[in-house]
Amino acid sequence: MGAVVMTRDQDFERRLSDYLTDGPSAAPKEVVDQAVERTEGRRQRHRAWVWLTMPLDLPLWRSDAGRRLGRLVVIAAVMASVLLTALLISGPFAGGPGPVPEMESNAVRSVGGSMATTHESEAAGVLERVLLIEVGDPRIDGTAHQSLRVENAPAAGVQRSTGVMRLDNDWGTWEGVVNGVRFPDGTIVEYGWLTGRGAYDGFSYFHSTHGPSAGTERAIEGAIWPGEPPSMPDPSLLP
Amino acid sequence: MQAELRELIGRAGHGDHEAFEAVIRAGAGRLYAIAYRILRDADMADDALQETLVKIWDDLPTLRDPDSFDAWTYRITCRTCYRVAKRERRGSLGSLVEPRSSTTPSFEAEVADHDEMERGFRRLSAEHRAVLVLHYYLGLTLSEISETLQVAPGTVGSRLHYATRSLRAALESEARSTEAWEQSS
Repeated sequence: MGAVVMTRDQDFERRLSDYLTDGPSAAPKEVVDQAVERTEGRRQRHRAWVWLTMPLDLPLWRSDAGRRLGRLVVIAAVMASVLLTALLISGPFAGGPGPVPEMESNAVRSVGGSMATTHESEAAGVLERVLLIEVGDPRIDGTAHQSLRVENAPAAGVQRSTGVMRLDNDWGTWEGVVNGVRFPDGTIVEYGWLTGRGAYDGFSYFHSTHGPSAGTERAIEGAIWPGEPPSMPDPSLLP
Repeated sequence: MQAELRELIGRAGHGDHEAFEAVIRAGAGRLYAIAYRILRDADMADDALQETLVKIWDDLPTLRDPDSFDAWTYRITCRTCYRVAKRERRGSLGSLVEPRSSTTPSFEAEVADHDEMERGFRRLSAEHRAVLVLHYYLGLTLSEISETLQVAPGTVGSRLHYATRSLRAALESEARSTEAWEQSS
């Protein structure tokens, strides 16, 4: 029995390896050429960060005067960071994100609340939205960004949208695809499965909203679920 | 890693565009192979590769250890693939499998096997596909995948487990459907 299972496992792994081996292994030349062209003369990022983190082996530091100056700079930087830390602890920024919310490994939790659109813009059929989400659960409360492709059916007075949504808060991120429809009376129905990142790694969040059109507050019904979002079923499996 | 390549990476990180070109012309094939296998679509893989190469140029100054260049570029490739898959939506929802012509019975069986695997694979999310590609195509261990993707080893393990389980279930259900169809006809 064990040997049969082992053979089946090996057979599956062989099939999978064969399948993955089959395919291109050379990059299309024109794609690489375009990337080379796009980066020519383009500024690289984080130069300042690189300078700050590089070893202090500059000619300036090699002389005694340079070393003294270097020490002064380091002391000043340390004092500034201590001062900043003290300000953050006792000042107006005190508070911080607090402890990481507890994620029960096997429990499904439903959440409910509201979301308000704080920014909305549309260009070339793509709707960008910023939403403030409040459901009274620290894992979901936060700011969400949506980038949606919108298709209108003016004759029917219906609009459909599909796109991506990312919900950020202090401990992690939820990301996924959302779909929605706006009906002739202005009601919007929207739903999607989002995958957890950061403290929410290994969890998924089902997000659904229902209510009057964007720009106003809409109700949220959702659920936090252990594991990945469900995979799409194959309709051909139906009897 | 060869000293010459390490030097080129270092120079590219300091803005030497010729060195960057030499580095990416040497390594783009591997990155494209990864992107294609995750996305299963040539156009999407083209987009992902180009975005990846531009991102590599942009962020190269932040790479402190040239020896970790390969893992770093795999990570950028995978993350770009996630974005492209989400943007194009087809990535997670799957699309029709292109039929492949067959000439002999053994080739027919091979084609059927490939198509079954293709259908199962397309049902997986880009994150799950990435773990399968890194493990079964590149041959990385779970801890290497964990370092490459910068996700917890447990998460890599659970993604690999879920992906292989889903794929097996899809293949078994395909086999049952085929059997039922053959019996009914």
